Amino acid sequence: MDNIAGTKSSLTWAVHISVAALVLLWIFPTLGLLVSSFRTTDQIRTSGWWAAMFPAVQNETLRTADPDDFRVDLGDGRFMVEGNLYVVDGQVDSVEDVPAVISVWGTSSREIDAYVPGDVADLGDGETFTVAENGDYRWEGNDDQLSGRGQRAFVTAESPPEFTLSNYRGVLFDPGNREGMAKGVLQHADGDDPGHDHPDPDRGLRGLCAGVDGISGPCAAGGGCCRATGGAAATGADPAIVAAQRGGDWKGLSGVWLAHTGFGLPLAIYLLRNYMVGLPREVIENARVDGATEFQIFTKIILPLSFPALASFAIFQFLWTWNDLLVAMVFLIDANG
Amino acid sequence: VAFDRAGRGDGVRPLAAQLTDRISWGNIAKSLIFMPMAISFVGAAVIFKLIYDARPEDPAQIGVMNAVYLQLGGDSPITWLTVPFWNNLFLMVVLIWIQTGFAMVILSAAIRGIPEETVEAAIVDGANPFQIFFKIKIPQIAGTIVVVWTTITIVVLKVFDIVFAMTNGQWETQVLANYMYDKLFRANDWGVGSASAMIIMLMVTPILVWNVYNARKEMR
Repeated sequence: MDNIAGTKSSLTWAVHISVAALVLLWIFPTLGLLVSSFRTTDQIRTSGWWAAMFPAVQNETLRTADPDDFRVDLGDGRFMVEGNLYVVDGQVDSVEDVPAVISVWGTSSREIDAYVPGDVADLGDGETFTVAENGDYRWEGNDDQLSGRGQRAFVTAESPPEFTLSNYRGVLFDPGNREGMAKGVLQHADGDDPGHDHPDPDRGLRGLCAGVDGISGPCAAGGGCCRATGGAAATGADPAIVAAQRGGDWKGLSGVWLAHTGFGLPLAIYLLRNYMVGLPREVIENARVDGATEFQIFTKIILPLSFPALASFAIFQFLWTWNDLLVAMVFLIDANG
Repeated sequence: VAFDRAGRGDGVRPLAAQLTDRISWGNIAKSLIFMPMAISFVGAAVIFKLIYDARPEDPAQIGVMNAVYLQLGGDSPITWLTVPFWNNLFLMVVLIWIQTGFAMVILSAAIRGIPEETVEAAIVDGANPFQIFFKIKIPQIAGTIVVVWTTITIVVLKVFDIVFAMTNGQWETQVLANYMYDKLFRANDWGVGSASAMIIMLMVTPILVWNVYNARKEMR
């Protein structure tokens, strides 16, 4: 309608601005997730994701090594402990890895900015403590002072923006991660599923149908049964699930597959039937005149013509299954926990 | 409680559809707004938990809400999800965020289908853009709006994942589906669990029937 005189109103800029605002508002949450996925737990805990692009200023309380084990005798009753605060703390493995540059430090929580790196703090009675920019420290004192627990240091450090792929590695490839995709997906694909026993699907179907209809025994018209199940399911209540769950011993992936099939069928039938009813009758009649069997009409004419409807339904079905939690929770987790 | 999640934000959806149809980068904008549809409800819950996150007073806030709130002069960070009544709204935001794309795509298709003559006639008669939108376009897509509304209301009545992942029904945010799950698997109370499942079904059925009825009317 852009070519009609008068539609190009002075509001065009307002449209652009409001759309831009909407789009920004809508992608903002996802952006947070994206940025967070490249950060370490420590980074996520200490600063907002929007600060990830800038160097992070971090206050930390670190402790020197235990003087009883690590002190070095300097003679004259003097002792010394030397090392790197970050290494002792276990944050990094070696001095080269220290990510941060200490800007100020202190020895009491009230004055965390008392000293700059390289300063020597006098702790009284000849006890001295000094911290360098990269966290290297030197702590000197007499026998009494260098005992018990390590000296605390309150450091304020600036670490450059840092991104990591370790989260993705952990989720996708780490074989040690029991809940990672490496284990979950590959194992199920192999059919090696130690957690759940795979039930006989036919029995499962019977159980499902029995749960709905109150009929026990084999269900002759399996499709009909599942339509009934799905009919109930699509309305959102899950009496079928409740009943099936009570039925007992078929759980695991097959249960989820069956439930999702049941949930999807009624809508699939409804949508596809409506679409197929609208197909031109002449084509079908022509095919019949040309001697096609009903099955040939279905596979060679109806199905190809219904491709748009099939495709859009496939997309929707995928989305629903992908987004579903309740069915998986009910069928993959035992009632006993 | 389930009912008050229905229908919020419906006003913004036709607007989003209307707006994105009129600009050159509308399709890009549309796919960006549609993107949350591809994120599972649980994923969205995680995303919004990050947004609503509250830290103790001293360290930097990592949740956007609290960071903004403190910037604007709030005294102390608030754990948003534990404030009754308002936490319901915060949970609704998650569903609106997900479902807007769906509503927008369908509604924008409907708006495109409006016969141009009606709009042209209105312009000739001197209608301003707002009048064209509210008096000419909206009435013509009313059927589609109803279909979208009923579809989303059904989703809302069945909502489980968001509540389960974000508050688990605490702080007065319980919904029926989560209640059912709670009774079935935590309390092992099959009777109440089944009853709540039935109630969800009974509540959804009339809307579903209406939805199907309207969808059929649309198709004709």
